[in-house]
Amino acid sequence: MADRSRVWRFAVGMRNPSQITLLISLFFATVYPLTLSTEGSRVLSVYAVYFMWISLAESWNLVGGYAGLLNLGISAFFALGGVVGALALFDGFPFIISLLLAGFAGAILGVALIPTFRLKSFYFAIATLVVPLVVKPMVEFLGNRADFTVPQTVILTPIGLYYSGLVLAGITIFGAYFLMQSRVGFALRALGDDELASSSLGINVLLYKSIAVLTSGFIASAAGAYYLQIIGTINTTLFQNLNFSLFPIFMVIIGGIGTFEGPVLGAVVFSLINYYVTSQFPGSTVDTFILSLMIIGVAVLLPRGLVSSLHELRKRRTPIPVK
Amino acid sequence: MALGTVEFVQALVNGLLQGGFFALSAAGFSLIFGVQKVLNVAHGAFIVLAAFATIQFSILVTPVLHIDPLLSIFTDSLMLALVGGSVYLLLIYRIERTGFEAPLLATFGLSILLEYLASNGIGPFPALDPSHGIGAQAQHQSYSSTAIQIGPFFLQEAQALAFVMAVVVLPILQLFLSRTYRGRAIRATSQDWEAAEFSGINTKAVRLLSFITGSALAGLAGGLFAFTNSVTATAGDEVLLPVILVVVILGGIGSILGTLAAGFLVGVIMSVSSLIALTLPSQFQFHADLASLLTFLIFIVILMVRPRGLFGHGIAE
Repeated sequence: MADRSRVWRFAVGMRNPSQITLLISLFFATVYPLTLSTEGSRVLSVYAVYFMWISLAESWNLVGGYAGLLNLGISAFFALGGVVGALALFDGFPFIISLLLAGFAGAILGVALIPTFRLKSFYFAIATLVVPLVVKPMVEFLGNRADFTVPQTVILTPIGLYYSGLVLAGITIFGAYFLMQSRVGFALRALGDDELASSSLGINVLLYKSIAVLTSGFIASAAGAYYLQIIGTINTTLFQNLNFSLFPIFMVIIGGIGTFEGPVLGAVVFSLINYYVTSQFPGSTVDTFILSLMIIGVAVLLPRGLVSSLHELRKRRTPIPVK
Repeated sequence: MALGTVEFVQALVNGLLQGGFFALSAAGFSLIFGVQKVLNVAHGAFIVLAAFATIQFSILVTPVLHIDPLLSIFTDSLMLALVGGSVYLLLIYRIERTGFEAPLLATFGLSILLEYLASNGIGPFPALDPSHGIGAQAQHQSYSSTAIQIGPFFLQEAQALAFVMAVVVLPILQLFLSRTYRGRAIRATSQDWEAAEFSGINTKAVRLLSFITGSALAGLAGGLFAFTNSVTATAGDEVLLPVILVVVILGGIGSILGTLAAGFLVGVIMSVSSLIALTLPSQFQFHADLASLLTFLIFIVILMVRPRGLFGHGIAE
């Protein structure tokens, strides 16, 4: 009985307007492909990128948003997931197993990050920035190549790609939500706010930080194996690609750091804008230019993100009660 | 191929010369990070911007006025000081109190912007494209083709210049930080900015000064980069930033002399590792960059022994 009441509390907890919007949009995302004809279903592969970014941003938020550990090296997890996914597909494993194996590889890489926890925040950030650079030559050495291209036969169809992405994003979102409602989530937020105070209250800092980094690494690497399905090839230059480390942070900042719906909002807004700008200037690199201005603009004008800036605006409008 | 003494010493020398350039590139990043805790991921792009300016100088000015393009490294330094100052005042200053993420994202956006400009050209200046010689224009001047011969060893002239520049400029910077009022204000701000403010230091001016100095160092390094390497638009992210990070961490964040020593160390490790990678028997056909594998393995081992870096009691501690 106790378990059932707990589940009920989780479900009732979803009553914030943005959370309800999220549930409704997930529902529409599930039924949307049913309205398309067989020909029209090709358009579905466009949405795969949305699911990938949602998972990646959500996984960054687990560590960066809740636990307050600024991981700037998530591209290492992402690219490692892509490589391990490709190796699994070479060996004839089905897609779902390749995703899981990639996830476990990411969790193992997360274990390698544990020694850096004793570093203070800024130093942790700069240390994680080096992680992709360290992993890249090791992967090239062990894999004995730099280019991992999978044959077309193991690539999912657009509709399969869409639904597997939806499942991945859905599991990530609800996983993050339930994790945050659990003891682990409260511990993480407490130590994100004040590590010393929470450790003096008996929170095992090392344990909870490790849980956060391992979970985040699992998700980010699974997202990498999913990315392999989108583009069909992984090159080890992906490790060094700062975009995959810093775009998730950008998305989390836009949507609201430390909330479970924030990364989803940020990822969708970012991908929509990116898609719109790219389609306005086909065959040109002006979109990069506009993207860079957008990042600088958001960083300077909305340094606390879209959602919290709106909240602040609303607070400013409501008059301060007179005592 | 057996490993001869001459080759080994030559690799050591090359590494030391290369290390001077690494130290020069990393010092500005280290200073900025030490003082204002802003992770300037655009530092590599700053260096490429300066290299871009030197290359344009050697295309446009040198053939007309017959000025040595090497002199442009000083104008680069001045230009980057201006760029750094305006970046600080227009972007970073407004958001540095909001936390770590917003300034990081601002410099990230800036690095994408600069990369875009370098690969598409700025106004009338042509884009960087080494396959058409534009990225390597400055390199084609006499400096990189000539080498100074000392006994059986060769010093590549452009690299030797970068080495001399690092050995001269960085100790001067260290003297400035430890002996002058403004330098001490920078160190005080990096240790505890609140206490520094209470002691009557204008921390905004100090932060501006450190950003300008750091960017000017990037300008100096960038000008030399145009003579030692073939410059691509993405070199900032792919080549420079990794080396800068490794050097800064090994040297101890904020420590200028530590950065200099770490620059030499990383240069030597990289050069000797690539020599070892070359001399491996050819039946071990690795499709991997063995030199960077060895470099990063040694990097991890050093960090395990000394997690604070070689000179961990620099101005950031």
